[in-house]
Amino acid sequence: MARVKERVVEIAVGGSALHAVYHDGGADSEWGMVFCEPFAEEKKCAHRVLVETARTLAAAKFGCLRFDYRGCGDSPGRFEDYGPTEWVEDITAAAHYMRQQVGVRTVGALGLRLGATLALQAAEVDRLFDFALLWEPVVNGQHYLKLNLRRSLIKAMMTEGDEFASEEVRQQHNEAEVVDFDGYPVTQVTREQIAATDLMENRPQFPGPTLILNLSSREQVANEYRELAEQMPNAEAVGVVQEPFWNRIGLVSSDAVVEATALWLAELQAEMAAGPAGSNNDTHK
Amino acid sequence: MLQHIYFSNEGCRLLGAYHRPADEAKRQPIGIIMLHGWAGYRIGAHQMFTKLARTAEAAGFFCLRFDFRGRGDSEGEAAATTLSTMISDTVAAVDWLVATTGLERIALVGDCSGAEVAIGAGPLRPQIESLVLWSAPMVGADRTESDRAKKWYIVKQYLRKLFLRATWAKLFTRRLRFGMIKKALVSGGKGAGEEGAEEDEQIDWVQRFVRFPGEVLFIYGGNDPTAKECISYYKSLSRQAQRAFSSHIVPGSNHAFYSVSWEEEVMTVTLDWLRDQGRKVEAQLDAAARS
Amino acid sequence: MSDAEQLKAQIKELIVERLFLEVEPDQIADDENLMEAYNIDSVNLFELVVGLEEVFEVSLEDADFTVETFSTVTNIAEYLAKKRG
Repeated sequence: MARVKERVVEIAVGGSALHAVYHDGGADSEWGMVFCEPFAEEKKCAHRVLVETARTLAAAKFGCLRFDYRGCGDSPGRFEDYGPTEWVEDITAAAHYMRQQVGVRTVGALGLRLGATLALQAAEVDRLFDFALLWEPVVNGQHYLKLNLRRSLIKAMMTEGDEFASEEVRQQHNEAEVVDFDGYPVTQVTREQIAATDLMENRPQFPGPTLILNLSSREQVANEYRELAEQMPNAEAVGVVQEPFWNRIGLVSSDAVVEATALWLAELQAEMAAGPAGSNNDTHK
Repeated sequence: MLQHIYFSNEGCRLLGAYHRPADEAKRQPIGIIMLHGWAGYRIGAHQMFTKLARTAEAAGFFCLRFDFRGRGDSEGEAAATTLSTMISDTVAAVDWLVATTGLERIALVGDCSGAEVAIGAGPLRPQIESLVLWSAPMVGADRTESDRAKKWYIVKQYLRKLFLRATWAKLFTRRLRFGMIKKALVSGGKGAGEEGAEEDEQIDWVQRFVRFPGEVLFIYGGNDPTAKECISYYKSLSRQAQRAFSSHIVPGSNHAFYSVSWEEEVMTVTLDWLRDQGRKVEAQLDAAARS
Repeated sequence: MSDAEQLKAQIKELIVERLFLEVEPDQIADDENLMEAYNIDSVNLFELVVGLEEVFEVSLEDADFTVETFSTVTNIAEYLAKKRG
């Protein structure tokens, strides 16, 4: 089988050049995806899964663009200098790159965790995306911050044993200007922006076909994802049994989520090919 | 300056992040190659390698952070990666950095499994002159029953993967990398894809450590439950190697140095030590030039 | 089965499910150290904590985070029983 072409590229945004890798779907590829990465260490844990997903989809003629937000991965800048506002700009720039530099006609977002949430925020703007795949999106930012506090508490507890003082960790998370999320300095501004995220309160109105994947130990869909899908104009939520690879130290198989994604994309392509004129598969300027 | 590069090893294209110091005239005489942990990739745990490389670059070091095959953005099947393949990739990385920069001395900085790889690669190239080992497990120690159980789990994962691929083949026939999974299964288990693969057990780890002619620095977290045993082990091996044992303990830290202050301490100690190594090299070169 | 035994059985099911363990729930002994027996690290424990809150509808206080609380099925069951009143 021919080697899938992939190349390192740069995306210009805000005076920076984001590090990105483009997985070429082939000369006749008209569909593309922008991968929107998760937050902090979830990104590192999920990296290989996203690479393999991009390779698999590129082999099925989807051009895939993966990139690092400002302050993350190999993109310039320090982590503490950027947050969700800038990262939504980065997603927007990546989508424009796909349309203008790569020339893809139908562009979707594939977001994981907070990346899925940010993708939805970016998608609200001016038909940036034609469809969206949201893997385990963060629905409530306050709850997400609480989970991160939990993670820190557990780590500290297992590190310090009898000397562990939960109050110290809790105070740090609630009161410090810059909170240490296990090696990631998270500023108050970033925490406020994450806390302000509430997809149930601020109902997303993205009109494009959307698949919300609830990745857990059960096939049923959690209430929050069911309700989110019901509130959106054109979304469905599906439960997939999938180990949370974004929260694992070792490698985890991602076949279940990639299979669900591939099946949905195949159905969407078929629907759009059969659809009436003036539907989402029209060329964007 | 950061540049992404590709180099090849054993048929796989590997991606690296290559840091060049701005003023090459002030460059350090040692290049640094960073070796990530088992399931990680070139940025390192909580972006430690990215941060270390930027600081090192500013201090005049050429640095290379790369993804082992089957990891990060490099080619290769994830389940086929072993410590042996990682050692081979490291040697290729050393060759690349030496050829690109003209440097004749390279330091390997390895994190956890990356530290094992550094030990494995150490004696394989004369240019490797020092090792900095973060949270190094005890190389050559007996594998536990749980490692063997993990191997069987990986084989079962392969079988499950094969079944799922067959399902997709109906949709995307000829466009799937189905052939690679089938190949891995048929090849009969080479590279079981977990720590404890058979080929890794064939490596004489103790001899590699003892034979390494350069200097070694160990860094552990004070609250890493394995630290005490590992330090004792490596002290003993260092005596065997007739090499001074150098170590630094980060008080209170866990295995992966999961806090800003702990990681800063690890990076500072690492860089200070490498600067010292650089000064020693320069002194040797000056002495050689005079004589 | 008593309430206490039923609670332990539910906890064991949760452990197997959330941690994707390849054992049957009833193979987990009530008093074996979970972290040692099943190689549970901080990320696994995080999944378990989230699962306990969701399934048993309790809210863990920060002060509840002790190694002892989560070390065995018996300890987890006692903790949950106390929380639920």
